[in-house]
Amino acid sequence: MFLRMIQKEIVQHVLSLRFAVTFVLFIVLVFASVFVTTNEYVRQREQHDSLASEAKKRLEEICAIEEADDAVRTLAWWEGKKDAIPISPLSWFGQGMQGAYPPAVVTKADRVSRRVDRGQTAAAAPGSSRIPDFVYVVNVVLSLLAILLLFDSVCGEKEAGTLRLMLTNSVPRAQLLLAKWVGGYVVLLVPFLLATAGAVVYALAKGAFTSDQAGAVLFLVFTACLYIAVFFNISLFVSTTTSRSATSLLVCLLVWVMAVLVVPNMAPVTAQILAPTPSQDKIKAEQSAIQREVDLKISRLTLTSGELSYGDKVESEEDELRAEGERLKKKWDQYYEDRRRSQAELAAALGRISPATSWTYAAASITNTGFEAHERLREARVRLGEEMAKFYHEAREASHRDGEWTHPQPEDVPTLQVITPDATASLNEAMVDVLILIIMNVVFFMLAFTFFLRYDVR
Amino acid sequence: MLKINNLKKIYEDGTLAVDDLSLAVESAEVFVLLGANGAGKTSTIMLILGFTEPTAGNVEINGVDIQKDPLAAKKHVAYVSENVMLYANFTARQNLDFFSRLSGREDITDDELMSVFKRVGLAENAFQRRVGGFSKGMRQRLGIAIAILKNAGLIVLDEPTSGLDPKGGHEFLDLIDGLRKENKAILMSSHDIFRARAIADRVGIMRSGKIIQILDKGELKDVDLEKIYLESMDRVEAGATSAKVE
Repeated sequence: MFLRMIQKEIVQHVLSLRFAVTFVLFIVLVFASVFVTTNEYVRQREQHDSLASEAKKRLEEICAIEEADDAVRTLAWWEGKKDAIPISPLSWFGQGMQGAYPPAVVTKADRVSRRVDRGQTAAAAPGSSRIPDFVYVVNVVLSLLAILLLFDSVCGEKEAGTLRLMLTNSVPRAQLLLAKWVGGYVVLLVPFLLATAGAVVYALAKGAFTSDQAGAVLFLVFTACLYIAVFFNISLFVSTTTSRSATSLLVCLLVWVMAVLVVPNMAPVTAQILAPTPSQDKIKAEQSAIQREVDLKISRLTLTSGELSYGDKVESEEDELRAEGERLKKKWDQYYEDRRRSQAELAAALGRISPATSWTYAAASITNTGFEAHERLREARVRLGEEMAKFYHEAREASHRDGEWTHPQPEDVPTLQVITPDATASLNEAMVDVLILIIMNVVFFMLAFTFFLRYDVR
Repeated sequence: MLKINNLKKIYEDGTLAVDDLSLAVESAEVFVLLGANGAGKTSTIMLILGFTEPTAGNVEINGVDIQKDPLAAKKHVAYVSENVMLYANFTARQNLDFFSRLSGREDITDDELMSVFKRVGLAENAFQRRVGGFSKGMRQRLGIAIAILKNAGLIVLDEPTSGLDPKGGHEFLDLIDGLRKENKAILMSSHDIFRARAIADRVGIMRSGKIIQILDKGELKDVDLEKIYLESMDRVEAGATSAKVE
């Protein structure tokens, strides 16, 4: 009987115009999004390779400058070291925060760069990409389609009178609801999985998908299924609390607007109010004040030494002053980073009351384009800045020791090293959000179940 | 087959829908509940089918209390509503097949479906047509076909002839008569006194949730049913419909 009811649900949906429209939209939107992002990924990868090649060539040119000190200073001070920002191999599925990155960064020894984006706020969710990628399509469009397909799964049958007719038979309500759930979910998933499979085949043909990504892609699709299921369960729950399809649709749309549009966008704004982060300009102003003080002390030091001396003692004191200045500036950097991180964490915590935020964060973690990846890139930049300062310092020390500057070798020049987590680590990062989605599914299904047991079928 | 004992239903808003109603319908008997709108007929049927919980009393179908063991009790009851609504996208055959199997007739064959389909007076060529295009009369017949296929001892019909044309109504009564001959107990609610008189073995006149009078076949011949019914309606219109309980 259970299988019969599932079969009925599936056939009933498949024969409806609504399903036909949903099916076409699923196929078209999922495939179109992956088509666009795959081509964008291929373009970005080519751009990355070209920039990396250019940067390597330029590094060799700088290293070959006739005067060794000019070569070192060009790298450390005047021109800086250029590095192409690596592209996440799974960004053809979701751009995440990567969409806001410049293609390359330049690092010098005189300052430590913190920012790698183009002005995105710290608390913003990692879904604000420029193009409608797979993550966006699932987030906004497929969640809406899930609601539009299933908002009347219970109340619609009540309105039609078929629910009453079914329940005059020896059908346990729990079994009936479960059959509705399974049948409806199969109807939702089949077009989605077909579209995704087609998209993956396309990505494979374009060289964007490789076999080592299979695990991550499967996990991403599994998470997408969980996310769609949340909206399906919300629809099921709402339809068990209302007696009219129109009311159910209205409530479902309201929930969707709150979950997909309002909460994810309000969470960063609320976090900015509750946990404000000082502006970068303010931090820079504080650091400039420290630098001015250091410069003043250094000029006093050279003046009080009685002559414009660059002897070892003065240089040593200058170094101490500079080191102290750097330490104080770093404290401001740390303060900024701590505030920024706590704001981002608060925004994530607030946003996670919505399944859309959990999906976006999970997808960003799986595709390695989220906040953690952003942090790894930022840390790599900070590290590179420090290494460049060290590189210059050591070159200068060597020149003092040897009496002449040595030509830098390209392989000795620090390079941008972004730590890429292995697949398991990425999945672990996503696990919190996956668990949240699972919990939401269980909660909404249990609510639907409880309400359906008492549902008035008259 | 059906036994209703001191059944009472007061809704959450305080409306007294069924008031201490007791009734028994035996096999091979057609019992018609006759009453105006709001007299409590549909509420009584909803209680019989276990769709609402009684405030007091109980309903037994084939000796099984519907509240205590609804799944077992529902095996013995089939239901035809005032406006039979089936899956519009399904064909008549698909609807019959689904509801028959849902009622436990897993072994049902297409021949049997077709045989019942024809028995209720539906044209053979409508068997594979989508129900969405069926008239009300055709859907009512299909509803009866579903009830027949369930092969339950008790058939409950909620104003099944309302909206049917005279010919359709007459044929419908023939179907009911056929079911009675098959030893089915039939409880039918109606406000159509002429058809009630034509088909009923007993008629119970309902007012304010109570059966105020029961007339058997012999009495039905002798009394002016129309007059009794209109008198009861007058009383209802005077303000006695579904009393509120403070």
